[in-house]
Amino acid sequence: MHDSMMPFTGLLLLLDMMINAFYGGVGVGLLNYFVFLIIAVFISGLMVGRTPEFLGKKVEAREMKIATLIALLHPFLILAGTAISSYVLVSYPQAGWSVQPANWLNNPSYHGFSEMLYEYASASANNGSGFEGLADNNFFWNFSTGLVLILGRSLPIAGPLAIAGLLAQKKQIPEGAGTLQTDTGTFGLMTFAVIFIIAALAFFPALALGPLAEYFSM
Amino acid sequence: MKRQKVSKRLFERALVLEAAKQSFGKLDPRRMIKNPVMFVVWLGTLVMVAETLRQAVSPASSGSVGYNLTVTLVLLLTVLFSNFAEAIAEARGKAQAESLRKTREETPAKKVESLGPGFDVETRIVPSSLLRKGDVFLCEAGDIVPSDGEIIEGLASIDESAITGESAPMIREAGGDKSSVTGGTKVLSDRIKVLVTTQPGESFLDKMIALVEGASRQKTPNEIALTILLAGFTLVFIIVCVTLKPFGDYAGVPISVAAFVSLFVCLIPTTIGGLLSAIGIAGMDRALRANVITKSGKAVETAGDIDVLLLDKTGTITIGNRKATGIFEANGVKEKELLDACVVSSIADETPEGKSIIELCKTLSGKSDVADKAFVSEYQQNGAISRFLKFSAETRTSGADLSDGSRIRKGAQDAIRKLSEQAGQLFPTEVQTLVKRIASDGGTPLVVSRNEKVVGVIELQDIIKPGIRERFERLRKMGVKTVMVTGDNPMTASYIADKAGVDDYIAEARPEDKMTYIRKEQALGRLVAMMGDGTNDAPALAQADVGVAMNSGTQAAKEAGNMVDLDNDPTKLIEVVEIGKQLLMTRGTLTTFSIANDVAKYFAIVPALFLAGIPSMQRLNIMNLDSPESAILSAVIFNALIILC
Repeated sequence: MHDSMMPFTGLLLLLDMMINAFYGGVGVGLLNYFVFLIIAVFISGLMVGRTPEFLGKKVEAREMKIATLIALLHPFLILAGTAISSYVLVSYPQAGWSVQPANWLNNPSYHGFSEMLYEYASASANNGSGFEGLADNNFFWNFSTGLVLILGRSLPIAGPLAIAGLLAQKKQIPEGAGTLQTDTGTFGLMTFAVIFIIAALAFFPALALGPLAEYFSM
Repeated sequence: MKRQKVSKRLFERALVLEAAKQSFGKLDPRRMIKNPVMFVVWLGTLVMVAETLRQAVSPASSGSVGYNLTVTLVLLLTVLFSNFAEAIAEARGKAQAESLRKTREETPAKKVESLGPGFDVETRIVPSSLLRKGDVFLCEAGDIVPSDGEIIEGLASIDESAITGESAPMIREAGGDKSSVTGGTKVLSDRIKVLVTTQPGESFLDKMIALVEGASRQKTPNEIALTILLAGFTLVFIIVCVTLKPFGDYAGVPISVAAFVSLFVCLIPTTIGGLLSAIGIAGMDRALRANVITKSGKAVETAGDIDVLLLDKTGTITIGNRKATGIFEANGVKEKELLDACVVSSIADETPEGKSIIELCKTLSGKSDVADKAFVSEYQQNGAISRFLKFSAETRTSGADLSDGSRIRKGAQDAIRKLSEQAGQLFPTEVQTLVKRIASDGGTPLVVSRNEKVVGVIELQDIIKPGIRERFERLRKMGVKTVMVTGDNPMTASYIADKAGVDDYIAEARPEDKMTYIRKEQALGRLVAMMGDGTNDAPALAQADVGVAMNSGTQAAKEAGNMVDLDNDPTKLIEVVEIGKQLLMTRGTLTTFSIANDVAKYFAIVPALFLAGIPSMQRLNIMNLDSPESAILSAVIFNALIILC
C-alpha cells in the first residue's frame, strides 16, 4: 500500500524541510539561518538586559519586523497550502477537474495527508522532491505549489537583504564587556531553541496528524 | 538618608479596589487594541460568549453549555488579570503623584508690584495660581514658596523636605548655581526676592507629576520591538489554529470551537503580553521610589543600556572632603612643637580640611575627648596669638602671628618653599621626599613653617567611600565603564582611580572636558550617563544619553537632564543604572518564561485534542490526560493564574 517513505523516515525528511535553515541546503537555508540568528540575538539580548546587537550593530524594531515576517512565511505557506488542499479534498471531492480531488491520493488517510504536506514543504523549501502516490501533475497542484515556490524563494532573499541594508546604515558599536557573545554554547542553544519553537513547533499538529498518527496506527 | 514616605505596600486595600474597578474599565476595545496579544484573547472571549449562547439555545454536538461557560469565564479572567496588573501599577504611580501634588496646593504669594524705579517693594497677596512668568514675589521666614523661580535678591535657608525628604535646610542665594527655588518648599530664615520662571501648571514638578501619572507614557524602542516579536508569535499560532480546522476535517477529528479558542489562547504568549505595559510603568515607579523623577519611561530603559558612567569624584567616590591623616616632623623638630604649629595655623581655618587637622592634633596629643573649642582655647590664652591670616590666593598660605613674634604658616609645598628660600633657609630634603611620597599616594601635602623654617608636613587624604569598589566591580561585570571626573592633578587622580577601581578618569576637569569626553564616547556608539547640578553642567547633561540633574541644581540643569534626583545624592546615578538593568532583565525573563510555558502547554493540548478521532494518539498523550475537555480546562486555568503570580 505504501508508495513512498515509511512514516518516521518521512517525518525526518519533512522536518528537515520545515526547519529550512540548514547550511548547504537547497534554496535559502543559510539565509534563513541568519534570520533566526537575528531573532535569537534579540531575545537573548532582552534576557541579559541589554539592547540587542549583532555583529556590532543594534537590532531594532524594523529589523525585527522583517525577521519575524520572514520566519513566519515558511510555516504560513506550508500550512496554508496543505489546509487549502485538505479543504478542497474534503468539501469538493467531485469537482469537475481533469483529475477529481477524490482521485488525488493513492493512499487516503494519514499517509495521504503526509503526501500533501510534503508537497508544499518541498515547494516552499525549494527542495524539488515529492512523495509519490499524489496525483500532482494537474492544474491545482502545479499552480498552487508554483505560487508557494516563488514566494518561498524570493521573499526569504529580499527580507535578509533589507535587514542587511538597514544594519549597514547603523553605526558600528565597539565590543565591550557587556556585549552578547555570539560564539558560545549558550548562544548556540538559544538559537536552537528559537529555530525549534518557530520552525518545528508550528508544524507539530500537522506532523501529529500525518506521519505520527500513521506510525502509531501501524 | 531619609526617604520621602513614598514606598507604598504592594497591595494596599484602596489601591486594589481602585485597580479592580479599572481592570473592567480597561475592557473597552479601544484601549485593549493597544496590546495586541491581550486584544486577541479578548476577541476569543467574545467568540466563546457567542458560542455558549448558541449552545444554550440549540444544544449541538460539541461539548456541554457548562463546559463552554467555564472556558468563557476563565478566558475573561485571563484578560481581567492582565488589566489588573496594569491597573495596579498605574494606581501606585498615581498615588505617588498625589503625594507630590499635595505640596503644590494653592499658597498665598507676596507679589511685588512694580510701581516705578525705587518703589518696587510694595507687595500684594495673590493666590499662587495668578503668578505668571516674569512676576517677582517676596518670601520671608515661615512662607511657603508659591512657585518655581530664581532668586534675584537675597539669601535664605529653605526646608525642602516636602520635595526631597531631606530634613536639613538648604541654603539658596542669588547668583551662582544654587539660585533656584521650588514651589512647595518652606523658607526658614531670611528674605528672598524670587523671579517666577514658569507659568502656573507648567512648573517643572507639574510636568513631572503628569508624566508619573502615565498620562504621556510612550512605548520605548525595545518595548516596540518586543511587541513585534510577540505579535509574530501570535501570528504563527493563528496560522496553526486556523489550518487545524481543515486538517481535523480531513482526519475525521471533530474539534470544537471552545477547543480552538482555548488552544489558541494557551499558545500565544499571554504571560508577557499581559504584563508588558505593567513592567514599563513599574520601571518608572521603581525610579520614583528611589526618589528619582524620570521624564519618560524611555530614560529608565536607556539607563539600563548605559556603557559609560561619568561620576564626580567628590561625594560619589570619596566622602565629601579631604581629611588630615598624618603629621610628619622635619629633622630636629620635636613632635609637640609641630603639633602646636599645626593647631595654631588651623584655628582660623573654617574649611573641613582645617577642622580635620585640629581633630587629628587632638588625637595625637591624647586629648580626643576634649571639645574642639576648649582644646583650641589653650593656644589662645593670654592673647598668645596676635593676628590670624586667612588663606589668600596671593600668598597661597594661611596661618597666624604669635604675640612673641613667631610667624606660623601653612600651605602648599611650593608656596612654603618660596617663603623659606626667600628668607635664606634651606628646604629640607627629607621633607621633599615626604611631600613626593604623599602626592604619589593620592594625598595632598601641606607644609608647615615657623619663622620661615620648615617644621613638618600634614598629609591630607581623600577617603574613598566604603563599598564603592565592589559597586564598580559589579558595574564592570554588567559591562558598564566608570569614569571619574575630578579637578585634582593627574597624579592624585590616577591614584584614587586605581584605589576606587574606576576604569578611567578625567583629571583637572573643566565643564567643557566632560562635554568633550561624552561626545568622544558617543561617537564610538556608546551610551553615556552623567550627573550634574550647575548651569555649566547643562550642556553636558543634555548631551548625555541619561542626564540626572540634582534637585538642588539650577533650573537650566534640571531642564537639560532627563531625570531629577530629589535627594541630591551623587551615588544615585549608579542606582538608576541598576534599576534600568533590572527592568530590562525582568522583561527578558518573563518573555522567556512565557514562551517556554507556551511550548509546554502545546504538548499537553494537541495530543489530547486528537484523542477522540485517533485513539492511537494515546501514546503521544504523555501527561495521560483524560479527555480533551480536561486538558483544555486545566491549560486555560493555568494560563490565567500564571499572569497573577
